[in-house]
Amino acid sequence: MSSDPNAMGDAAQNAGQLVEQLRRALAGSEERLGVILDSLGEAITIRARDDRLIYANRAALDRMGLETVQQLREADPQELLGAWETTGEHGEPIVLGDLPSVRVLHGEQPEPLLLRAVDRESGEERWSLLKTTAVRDPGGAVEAAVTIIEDVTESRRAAMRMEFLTRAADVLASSLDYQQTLRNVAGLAVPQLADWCAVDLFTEEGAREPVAIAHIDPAKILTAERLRAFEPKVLNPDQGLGLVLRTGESQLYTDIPDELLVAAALDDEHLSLLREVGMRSVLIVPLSIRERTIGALTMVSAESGRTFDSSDVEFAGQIAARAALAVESARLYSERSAVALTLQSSLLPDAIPEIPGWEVAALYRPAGHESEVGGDFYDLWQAGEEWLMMIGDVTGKGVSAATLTSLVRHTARAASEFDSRPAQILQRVDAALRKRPTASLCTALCLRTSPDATAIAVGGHPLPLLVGENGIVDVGEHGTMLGALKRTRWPERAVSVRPGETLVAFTDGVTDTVGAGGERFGAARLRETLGGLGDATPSALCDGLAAALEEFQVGAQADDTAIVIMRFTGARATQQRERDLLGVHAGRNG
Amino acid sequence: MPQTPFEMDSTNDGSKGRVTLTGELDIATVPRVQQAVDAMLAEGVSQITIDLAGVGFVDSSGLRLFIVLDQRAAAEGWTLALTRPTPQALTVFRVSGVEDELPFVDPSTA
Repeated sequence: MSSDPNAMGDAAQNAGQLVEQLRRALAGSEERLGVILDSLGEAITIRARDDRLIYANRAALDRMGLETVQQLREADPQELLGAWETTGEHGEPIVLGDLPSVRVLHGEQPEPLLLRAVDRESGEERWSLLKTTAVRDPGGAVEAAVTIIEDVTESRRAAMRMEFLTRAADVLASSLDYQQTLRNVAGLAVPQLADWCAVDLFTEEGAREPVAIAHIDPAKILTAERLRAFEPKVLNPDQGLGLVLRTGESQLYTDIPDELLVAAALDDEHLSLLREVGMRSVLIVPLSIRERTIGALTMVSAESGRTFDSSDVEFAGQIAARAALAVESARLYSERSAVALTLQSSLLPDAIPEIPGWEVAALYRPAGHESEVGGDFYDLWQAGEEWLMMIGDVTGKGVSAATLTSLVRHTARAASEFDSRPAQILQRVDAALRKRPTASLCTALCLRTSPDATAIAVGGHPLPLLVGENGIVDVGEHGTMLGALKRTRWPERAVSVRPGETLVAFTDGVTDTVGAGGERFGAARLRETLGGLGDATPSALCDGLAAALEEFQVGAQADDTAIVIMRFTGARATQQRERDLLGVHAGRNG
Repeated sequence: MPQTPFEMDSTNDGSKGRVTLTGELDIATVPRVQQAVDAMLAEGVSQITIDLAGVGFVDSSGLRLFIVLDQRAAAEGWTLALTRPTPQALTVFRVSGVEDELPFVDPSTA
């Protein structure tokens, strides 16, 4: 503002015109001069060569708290200025010698000065723009300095607040860690808006959860933390934060007299800490979401000596509204993540069941954001004498994927009660998906194992691998994807698994994993990896595959991956065969 | 085998549109094709041909894209044609059982 050359030119011109007016006025009576100047809204002063103020119009006298020009003439200029805490645009202290009027009298040509003055008594803060012009005697020597003092408090505050809000908007949008966000906002507020800024959130039980406290001086933060130790667990509903929580309304304590501290102090130590902070004025505004008060923003004016007013309440309210929104977004986000995790885990078996004759392990790596449910799934369940395994991949992410996954799993389980043949199960799932109003596609592989045989059917899904005596081979036959196609076929194939051999079923997220240079993990690398892992247990194979994918992958994981690995130990089948043999033997004997 | 960067070129004359794809059609690139088709439909295009000659890889999301587009075309009254699939893409369509379902057309008529 003060660096604007036009403003400075205008200032000089205004002051020049004023001096001209003064000259004319002086030609008349002193009374006439007084009438003209007193009618002006701007404060005007005239300083003489000895630095004393010799004249002030009504507006200027009012601002100085003086009745008459006579009182002004008698006052010491240092003392007059000393009634205010005076600082410049950037918080630098301003002394008498820095004032444009004094500098003009010393032969300088100062630029207009933007001055912040806080009345030491009332705490009122004002921003003024001081523009001075010299009055010269006929010889050209500076005789006096005429200063126009324009009150720019409103525009200055508006500019600072706008700047604050702009920066706060960036801060609030920068992170989903709302605690950090609130700390950043509190940090922004000091020292321009307040000497202290604190943010507290309220728990469901109405207790206070301190989140942030900021002061320009770190040593002071320690004092605040010591003060916190004195605070009761339950907030007093009739004062301060408790009152804000109860009413949802802002509380402005324009002045904090010592008596109030004495009344509030629990003991001497508490009182001395309270006094140490030196609170001048306190403002507490609620952080509200709809009708609910979730926390409060506290601003304290202390060493700066200024008092808060209604415009501060309004502005702090704007900050609080934005902060509350940031908190709510962050909370919703973390809740959504929690819901997604719960949902996701509800879509997978709680634990891999014990399947007689088999050793089973599974791996699930959801892609991307934790707040989204993936489309891959697997399930293992028992139907009568048989055990079933299904692995698949539904279209989409999030809630729609969760709904589809749930539909597929429940349909498959229900279908198996009537007919547990894998092709039949796929057919039932396909029929269920077709009933959905929107295209609901799913790939799936269904495997059934009974004491004597294992069979699979595949619907648009990668064929599983059999790792065994003949190396690593594909098993089963491709069938149609489920949910949409006119002509369907799901050829069911028996799989001969010898004891010690392992079936590896997976989703395409495994083979489609992208590595360096855009290369895909691919079927060949999957076989290689499995081959390299040798005779490991299913869970070791899962770990090995996960490590290989992790190592291969470049950047974020694009798609979900699911793997189910089943090793046939043969234990059950052997027992069964032994029983059968015994049965045959007994029959022969009987 | 380094990946060809995915590229898409779409042109239309107001009624017929052609989307030419190059590179890998997967979970990352499918949304772009979807958008291109949506944009053409919004402009009133009623015949859309998707040229797959440059597509060396199609994953399940690419497959689904074509199935969904085919169903939408039938429901919304526009025409979809797929042309010049590479052998690699064709394998994916074949093993998923969708080869006969999708509206493949001869390059000479596309």
